[in-house]
Amino acid sequence: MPNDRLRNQIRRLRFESGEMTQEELGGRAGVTRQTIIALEAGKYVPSLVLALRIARVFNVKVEDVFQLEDRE
Amino acid sequence: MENRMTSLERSAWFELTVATLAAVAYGALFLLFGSGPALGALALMALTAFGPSNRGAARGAPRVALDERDHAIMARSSLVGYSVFWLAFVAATMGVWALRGGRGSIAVDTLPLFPAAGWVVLTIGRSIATLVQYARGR
Repeated sequence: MPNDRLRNQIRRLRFESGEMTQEELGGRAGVTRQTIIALEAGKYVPSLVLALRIARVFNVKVEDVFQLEDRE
Repeated sequence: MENRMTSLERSAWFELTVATLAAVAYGALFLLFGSGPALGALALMALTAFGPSNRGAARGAPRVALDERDHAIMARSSLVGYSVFWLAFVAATMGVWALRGGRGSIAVDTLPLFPAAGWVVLTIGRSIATLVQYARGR
């Protein structure tokens, strides 16, 4: 079984987008601030739809926000 | 850093408090007055209808009250809650059988305790599972 981990650049992208708050990103992506916190901490793997919505908020490709990282 | 709770998390705390109070009240009344009157304490569970998520919905909830992560947590918590309920139900029925024997009997007015206590067990199991998942996600 693959042992991948999903890394993300949400925190960096937020700061590069005029220091966007977690609340604001959550509102624009249609999730709560707590979900953004869990995503940034790598504790939650989003659905494909949510990943695409977040990428759309930052106006980047989804792979610029999320990357697979092999743990082995 | 400020870390406000989601409405589901607030509901879980509220329901856990209500269910624990109902269980404690049942225990106290059982010791004082016996099983029949003690059943009334489980009516406290009706307070769960006034939980934070229901009040929020009535007042006009915030823009995003529950999202996909909350729904995933809710689904897993329900599974845990019903599993705990089922285990407790099996333990209760088998326990009576073991204690009273195959030819034993119990009073019919004990039977309402099974669904009422089941509700308490389900609520406690589900609430704890919800709170544990939120705690792990921080």
